[in-house]
Amino acid sequence: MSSSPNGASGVERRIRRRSVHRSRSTAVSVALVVLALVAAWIGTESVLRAVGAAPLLADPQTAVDTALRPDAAFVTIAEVIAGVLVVLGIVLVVLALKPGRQHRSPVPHERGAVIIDTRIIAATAANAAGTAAGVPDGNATATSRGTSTEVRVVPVSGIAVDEGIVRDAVKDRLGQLDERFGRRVKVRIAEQGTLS
Amino acid sequence: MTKSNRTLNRIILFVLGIVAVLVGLTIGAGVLPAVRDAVRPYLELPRSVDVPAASLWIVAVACAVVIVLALIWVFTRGGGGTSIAVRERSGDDAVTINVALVRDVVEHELREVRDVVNAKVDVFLVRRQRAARIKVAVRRGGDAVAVLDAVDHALAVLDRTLGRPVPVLVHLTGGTRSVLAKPSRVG
Repeated sequence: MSSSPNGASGVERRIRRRSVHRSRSTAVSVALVVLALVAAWIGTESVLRAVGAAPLLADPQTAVDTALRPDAAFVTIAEVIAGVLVVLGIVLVVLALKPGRQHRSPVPHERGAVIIDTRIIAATAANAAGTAAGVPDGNATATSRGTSTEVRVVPVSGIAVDEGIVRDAVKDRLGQLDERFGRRVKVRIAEQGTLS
Repeated sequence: MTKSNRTLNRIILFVLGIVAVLVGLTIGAGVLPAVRDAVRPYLELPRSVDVPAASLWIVAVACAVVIVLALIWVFTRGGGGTSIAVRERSGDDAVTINVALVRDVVEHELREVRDVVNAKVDVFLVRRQRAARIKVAVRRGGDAVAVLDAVDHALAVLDRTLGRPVPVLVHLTGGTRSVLAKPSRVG
């Protein structure tokens, strides 16, 4: 097993990368099923025309003529179809080109590859802040975005909370996961306390 | 995590998207004068196209090929999951360890951990190597550092049980169940 600096093997790096980025399998499947249905319709119409049977909706010649130069009755339908196709196409292209990162971060670790949901990183920060401030579980909340974390602490009335101590505790705790998370921590102490 | 080829998925999406936009613009050019004027400098769309009778069968065959390829792609996606966690060969003999053992070890080791709601283990074949994914649902307000320490311990036990380290992915997640789980109380 080849080892990289943080201990993850090639296979582990691969599955970690594939977990952080979203798969487009569902979008591809939906698009391909729609494509298959359209192809089925075009194919059926072609065969029906070739054997001289009556068309299902419109034979290929009529369809092409209508698409290129619709008469008055089909203008609205053509407009709608054109609009839907353009919007759908743009959505597919955007899906194809965007990186598709999910709300998770890879974390360097000695054994195995580790990824943590952003929500859990926030929970860890709230947990550390709550312990340091000595407030009940629900009084410390946190939100994380990328590598920055914001912690809000509602003190229990009568007991002052030191912002510096809370920040150090959060930085220390997140730093144990990965030093990147510990760098940008913002602490806000609510002015108004609650009764415990 | 599965075997699906993600680059190819992106390429398929991109090509289908471009085709959809082009067809949409072509149809739009026939209806909307604004679109027609915008497209005119680049290409002149024919007023009408004759569909010759000979091409009908070619179109039909092309459609059939497209349908078959599309359905094959849709139905062969995913996969890569396996129930065998370790396979050791020596000559004609092979020893296999089922994923159930890995599951039991990990679940047993993580059961008593305070912030863990539950743990799920799957094994995947990645590039002909077996790798385990351990999804650990962490309680709301839980501490990832403590959970990660517990997972490390569980992995050490697992390595000892299996006799060799297996590639693993540990995913700490807040599943739906962890949202519903009660916050722990300190007395």
